[in-house]
Amino acid sequence: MNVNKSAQVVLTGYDKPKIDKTIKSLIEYTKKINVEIVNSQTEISAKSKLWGCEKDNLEQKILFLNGTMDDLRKILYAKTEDGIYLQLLLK
Amino acid sequence: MKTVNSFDKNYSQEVTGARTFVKKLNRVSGIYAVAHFDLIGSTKNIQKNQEATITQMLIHNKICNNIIQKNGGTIIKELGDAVLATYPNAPMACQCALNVIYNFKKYVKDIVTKVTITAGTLEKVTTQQMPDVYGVPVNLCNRMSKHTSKNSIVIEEKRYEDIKSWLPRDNRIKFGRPKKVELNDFKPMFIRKITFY
Repeated sequence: MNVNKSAQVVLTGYDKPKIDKTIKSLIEYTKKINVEIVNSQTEISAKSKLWGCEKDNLEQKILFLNGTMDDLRKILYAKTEDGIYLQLLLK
Repeated sequence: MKTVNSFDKNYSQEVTGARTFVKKLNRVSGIYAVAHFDLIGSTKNIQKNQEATITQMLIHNKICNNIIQKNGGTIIKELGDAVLATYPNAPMACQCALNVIYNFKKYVKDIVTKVTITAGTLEKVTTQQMPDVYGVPVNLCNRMSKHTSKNSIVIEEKRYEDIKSWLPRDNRIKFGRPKKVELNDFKPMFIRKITFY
Protein backbone atom coordinates (compact mmCIF):
# COMPACT_ATOMS: atom_id res chain seq x y z
CA MET A 1 0.00 0.00 0.00
CA ASN A 2 1.33 3.41 -0.93
CA VAL A 3 1.11 5.46 2.24
CA ASN A 4 2.33 9.04 2.22
CA LYS A 5 5.38 9.77 4.33
CA SER A 6 7.05 12.97 5.45
CA ALA A 7 10.68 13.58 4.65
CA GLN A 8 13.16 16.37 4.52
CA VAL A 9 15.76 17.12 1.91
CA VAL A 10 18.85 18.77 3.32
CA LEU A 11 21.21 20.37 0.83
CA THR A 12 24.67 21.23 2.10
CA GLY A 13 27.52 22.95 0.32
CA TYR A 14 29.92 25.87 0.17
CA ASP A 15 28.33 27.69 -2.73
CA LYS A 16 25.02 29.46 -2.03
CA PRO A 17 24.08 30.07 -5.70
CA LYS A 18 24.60 26.36 -6.40
CA ILE A 19 22.32 25.43 -3.48
CA ASP A 20 19.67 27.88 -4.73
CA LYS A 21 19.93 26.44 -8.24
CA THR A 22 19.56 22.91 -6.87
CA ILE A 23 16.52 23.96 -4.80
CA LYS A 24 14.93 25.49 -7.89
CA SER A 25 15.42 22.37 -9.98
CA LEU A 26 14.19 20.16 -7.10
CA ILE A 27 10.99 22.22 -6.82
CA GLU A 28 10.39 21.68 -10.54
CA TYR A 29 11.19 17.98 -10.24
CA THR A 30 8.80 17.37 -7.31
CA LYS A 31 5.92 18.56 -9.51
CA LYS A 32 6.72 15.82 -12.02
CA ILE A 33 6.96 12.99 -9.49
CA ASN A 34 3.94 13.73 -7.34
CA VAL A 35 5.84 14.84 -4.25
CA GLU A 36 4.37 17.76 -2.32
CA ILE A 37 6.53 20.46 -0.75
CA VAL A 38 4.78 21.11 2.55
CA ASN A 39 7.06 23.76 3.90
CA SER A 40 9.14 26.47 2.33
CA GLN A 41 12.89 26.21 2.50
CA THR A 42 14.55 27.09 5.74
CA GLU A 43 18.07 28.31 6.07
CA ILE A 44 20.08 27.08 9.02
CA SER A 45 23.68 27.50 9.98
CA ALA A 46 25.57 24.30 9.37
CA LYS A 47 28.64 23.15 11.20
CA SER A 48 31.39 22.47 8.71
CA LYS A 49 33.27 20.50 11.37
CA LEU A 50 30.67 17.77 10.90
CA TRP A 51 31.75 17.55 7.26
CA GLY A 52 35.43 17.05 7.98
CA CYS A 53 36.59 20.59 7.42
CA GLU A 54 36.49 23.76 9.51
CA LYS A 55 35.37 26.46 7.11
CA ASP A 56 32.96 29.26 7.91
CA ASN A 57 31.05 29.52 4.66
CA LEU A 58 29.02 26.31 4.77
CA GLU A 59 25.40 26.74 3.68
CA GLN A 60 22.46 24.44 4.30
CA LYS A 61 18.86 24.55 3.11
CA ILE A 62 15.95 22.26 3.81
CA LEU A 63 12.78 21.31 1.98
CA PHE A 64 10.00 19.46 3.80
CA LEU A 65 8.28 16.93 1.59
CA ASN A 66 5.33 14.60 1.52
CA GLY A 67 4.95 11.63 -0.80
CA THR A 68 5.02 7.86 -1.12
CA MET A 69 8.29 6.06 -0.43
CA ASP A 70 8.65 5.23 -4.13
CA ASP A 71 8.18 8.84 -5.18
CA LEU A 72 10.39 10.22 -2.41
CA ARG A 73 13.16 7.80 -3.39
CA LYS A 74 13.31 9.45 -6.83
CA ILE A 75 14.61 12.62 -5.14
CA LEU A 76 17.91 10.81 -4.51
CA TYR A 77 18.47 10.72 -8.26
CA ALA A 78 17.39 14.31 -8.93
CA LYS A 79 19.95 16.56 -10.53
CA THR A 80 22.09 18.45 -8.03
CA GLU A 81 24.86 20.94 -8.66
CA ASP A 82 28.43 19.69 -8.32
CA GLY A 83 29.59 19.71 -4.68
CA ILE A 84 26.09 20.04 -3.18
CA TYR A 85 25.41 17.08 -0.90
CA LEU A 86 21.84 15.81 -0.70
CA GLN A 87 20.38 14.09 2.35
CA LEU A 88 16.88 12.66 2.18
CA LEU A 89 15.73 11.92 5.72
CA LEU A 90 12.43 10.30 6.65
CA LYS A 91 10.67 12.04 9.54
CA MET B 1 84.66 20.47 -7.62
CA LYS B 2 81.52 18.61 -6.59
CA THR B 3 81.35 14.89 -7.10
CA VAL B 4 78.70 13.33 -9.33
CA ASN B 5 76.86 11.78 -6.39
CA SER B 6 76.61 14.99 -4.37
CA PHE B 7 73.24 15.82 -2.84
CA ASP B 8 73.60 19.51 -2.10
CA LYS B 9 72.88 21.10 -5.45
CA ASN B 10 70.50 24.06 -5.22
CA TYR B 11 67.11 23.72 -6.89
CA SER B 12 65.60 27.00 -5.74
CA GLN B 13 63.89 27.61 -9.11
CA GLU B 14 62.22 24.20 -8.96
CA VAL B 15 61.02 24.89 -5.41
CA THR B 16 59.70 28.35 -6.31
CA GLY B 17 58.17 26.97 -9.49
CA ALA B 18 56.25 24.35 -7.50
CA ARG B 19 54.82 27.00 -5.16
CA THR B 20 53.79 29.19 -8.10
CA PHE B 21 52.21 26.19 -9.83
CA VAL B 22 50.11 25.38 -6.74
CA LYS B 23 49.01 29.02 -6.35
CA LYS B 24 47.62 29.00 -9.90
CA LEU B 25 45.58 25.80 -9.49
CA ASN B 26 41.81 25.99 -9.70
CA ARG B 27 40.48 24.72 -6.31
CA VAL B 28 36.78 24.32 -5.50
CA SER B 29 35.33 22.94 -2.25
CA GLY B 30 32.20 20.82 -2.18
CA ILE B 31 30.58 18.04 -0.21
CA TYR B 32 30.47 14.59 -1.73
CA ALA B 33 29.89 10.97 -0.84
CA VAL B 34 33.07 9.00 -1.50
CA ALA B 35 33.37 5.30 -2.25
CA HIS B 36 36.61 3.32 -2.34
CA PHE B 37 36.47 -0.03 -4.17
CA ASP B 38 39.35 -2.28 -3.23
CA LEU B 39 40.38 -5.57 -4.82
CA ILE B 40 40.86 -8.22 -2.15
CA GLY B 41 44.12 -10.14 -1.86
CA SER B 42 46.13 -8.27 -4.47
CA THR B 43 49.12 -7.44 -2.23
CA LYS B 44 49.54 -11.10 -1.35
CA ASN B 45 48.79 -12.44 -4.83
CA ILE B 46 51.11 -10.09 -6.69
CA GLN B 47 54.08 -11.65 -4.89
CA LYS B 48 53.09 -15.09 -6.23
CA ASN B 49 52.06 -14.16 -9.75
CA GLN B 50 52.60 -10.56 -10.76
CA GLU B 51 51.24 -10.71 -14.31
CA ALA B 52 48.00 -12.50 -13.39
CA THR B 53 47.41 -10.19 -10.42
CA ILE B 54 47.94 -7.05 -12.49
CA THR B 55 45.43 -8.45 -15.02
CA GLN B 56 42.98 -8.92 -12.13
CA MET B 57 43.61 -5.35 -10.93
CA LEU B 58 42.94 -3.97 -14.40
CA ILE B 59 39.74 -6.01 -14.78
CA HIS B 60 38.60 -5.06 -11.25
CA ASN B 61 39.14 -1.37 -11.90
CA LYS B 62 37.55 -1.43 -15.34
CA ILE B 63 34.40 -3.24 -14.12
CA CYS B 64 34.12 -0.80 -11.19
CA ASN B 65 34.55 2.14 -13.58
CA ASN B 66 31.86 0.85 -15.94
CA ILE B 67 29.30 0.24 -13.16
CA ILE B 68 30.13 3.50 -11.32
CA GLN B 69 29.43 5.47 -14.50
CA LYS B 70 26.05 3.73 -14.90
CA ASN B 71 25.14 4.58 -11.29
CA GLY B 72 25.69 8.33 -11.22
CA GLY B 73 29.22 8.24 -9.81
CA THR B 74 32.28 10.15 -10.95
CA ILE B 75 35.55 8.27 -11.07
CA ILE B 76 38.30 10.28 -9.47
CA LYS B 77 41.27 8.00 -9.69
CA GLU B 78 42.60 4.48 -9.76
CA LEU B 79 45.07 3.55 -7.07
CA GLY B 80 46.61 0.32 -8.37
CA ASP B 81 44.14 -2.22 -7.01
CA ALA B 82 41.45 0.30 -6.04
CA VAL B 83 39.08 2.86 -7.50
CA LEU B 84 37.94 6.08 -5.85
CA ALA B 85 34.63 7.64 -6.90
CA THR B 86 32.37 10.47 -5.74
CA TYR B 87 28.55 10.69 -5.68
CA PRO B 88 26.01 13.43 -4.84
CA ASN B 89 24.76 11.43 -1.83
CA ALA B 90 25.52 8.37 0.29
CA PRO B 91 22.49 6.26 -0.78
CA MET B 92 23.64 6.50 -4.41
CA ALA B 93 27.14 5.44 -3.39
CA CYS B 94 25.79 2.51 -1.42
CA GLN B 95 23.39 1.41 -4.17
CA CYS B 96 26.27 1.51 -6.65
CA ALA B 97 28.51 -0.47 -4.29
CA LEU B 98 25.84 -3.15 -3.96
CA ASN B 99 25.54 -3.32 -7.76
CA VAL B 100 29.30 -3.69 -8.10
CA ILE B 101 29.46 -6.47 -5.48
CA TYR B 102 26.44 -8.26 -6.99
CA ASN B 103 27.97 -8.24 -10.48
CA PHE B 104 31.38 -9.45 -9.30
CA LYS B 105 29.66 -12.31 -7.47
CA LYS B 106 27.56 -13.18 -10.49
CA TYR B 107 30.02 -12.84 -13.37
CA VAL B 108 33.59 -12.72 -12.04
CA LYS B 109 34.06 -15.46 -9.50
CA ASP B 110 37.83 -15.03 -9.09
CA ILE B 111 37.77 -11.29 -8.36
CA VAL B 112 36.34 -10.07 -5.07
CA THR B 113 35.97 -6.48 -4.01
CA LYS B 114 35.33 -4.63 -0.75
CA VAL B 115 34.03 -1.10 -0.35
CA THR B 116 34.24 1.79 2.10
CA ILE B 117 31.90 4.77 1.98
CA THR B 118 31.98 8.12 3.69
CA ALA B 119 31.06 11.73 2.91
CA GLY B 120 32.46 15.14 3.60
CA THR B 121 34.29 18.15 2.27
CA LEU B 122 36.55 17.58 -0.70
CA GLU B 123 38.60 20.02 -2.67
CA LYS B 124 38.52 19.46 -6.41
CA VAL B 125 41.81 20.57 -7.83
CA THR B 126 42.05 20.98 -11.57
CA THR B 127 45.43 20.75 -13.18
CA GLN B 128 45.99 20.65 -16.93
CA GLN B 129 44.61 17.14 -17.04
CA MET B 130 41.82 15.56 -14.96
CA PRO B 131 40.52 17.05 -11.71
CA ASP B 132 41.82 15.35 -8.60
CA VAL B 133 40.29 15.42 -5.12
CA TYR B 134 41.82 15.96 -1.71
CA GLY B 135 40.27 15.98 1.73
CA VAL B 136 39.47 14.14 4.92
CA PRO B 137 36.93 11.71 3.36
CA VAL B 138 39.60 10.32 1.02
CA ASN B 139 41.95 9.56 3.92
CA LEU B 140 39.08 8.22 6.02
CA CYS B 141 37.91 5.82 3.31
CA ASN B 142 41.43 4.51 3.05
CA ARG B 143 41.76 4.01 6.83
CA MET B 144 38.34 2.33 7.11
CA SER B 145 39.31 -0.20 4.46
CA LYS B 146 40.94 -2.57 6.94
CA HIS B 147 37.57 -3.01 8.69
CA THR B 148 35.75 -4.25 5.63
CA SER B 149 35.92 -7.71 4.09
CA LYS B 150 34.92 -9.51 0.92
CA ASN B 151 31.59 -8.50 -0.61
CA SER B 152 31.08 -5.98 2.18
CA ILE B 153 30.64 -2.26 2.52
CA VAL B 154 31.83 -0.35 5.57
CA ILE B 155 30.17 2.99 6.10
CA GLU B 156 30.55 5.70 8.73
CA GLU B 157 27.65 5.44 11.18
CA LYS B 158 26.62 9.06 10.70
CA ARG B 159 26.33 8.40 6.95
CA TYR B 160 24.39 5.19 7.64
CA GLU B 161 21.65 7.53 8.88
CA ASP B 162 21.51 8.93 5.33
CA ILE B 163 21.08 5.54 3.68
CA LYS B 164 19.09 3.38 6.11
CA SER B 165 15.64 4.17 4.71
CA TRP B 166 16.65 3.84 1.07
CA LEU B 167 18.48 0.56 0.71
CA PRO B 168 16.77 -2.41 -0.94
CA ARG B 169 15.20 -4.85 1.52
CA ASP B 170 16.69 -8.15 0.49
CA ASN B 171 17.54 -11.28 2.49
CA ARG B 172 20.98 -11.37 0.88
CA ILE B 173 21.93 -8.02 2.44
CA LYS B 174 22.82 -8.15 6.13
CA PHE B 175 23.34 -5.04 8.23
CA GLY B 176 25.84 -5.24 11.05
CA ARG B 177 25.68 -3.34 14.31
CA PRO B 178 27.53 -0.08 14.88
CA LYS B 179 31.11 -0.75 15.90
CA LYS B 180 33.46 1.71 17.58
CA VAL B 181 36.86 1.83 15.92
CA GLU B 182 40.06 3.78 16.32
CA LEU B 183 41.64 4.70 13.02
CA ASN B 184 45.13 6.15 12.73
CA ASP B 185 45.07 9.96 12.98
CA PHE B 186 41.29 10.05 13.56
CA LYS B 187 39.21 10.32 16.73
CA PRO B 188 37.35 7.12 17.74
CA MET B 189 34.28 6.71 15.54
CA PHE B 190 31.44 4.34 14.78
CA ILE B 191 31.23 2.38 11.56
CA ARG B 192 28.78 -0.20 10.28
CA LYS B 193 29.26 -3.15 7.96
CA ILE B 194 26.80 -4.13 5.24
CA THR B 195 27.45 -7.58 3.77
CA PHE B 196 26.08 -9.08 0.58
CA TYR B 197 25.74 -12.89 0.84
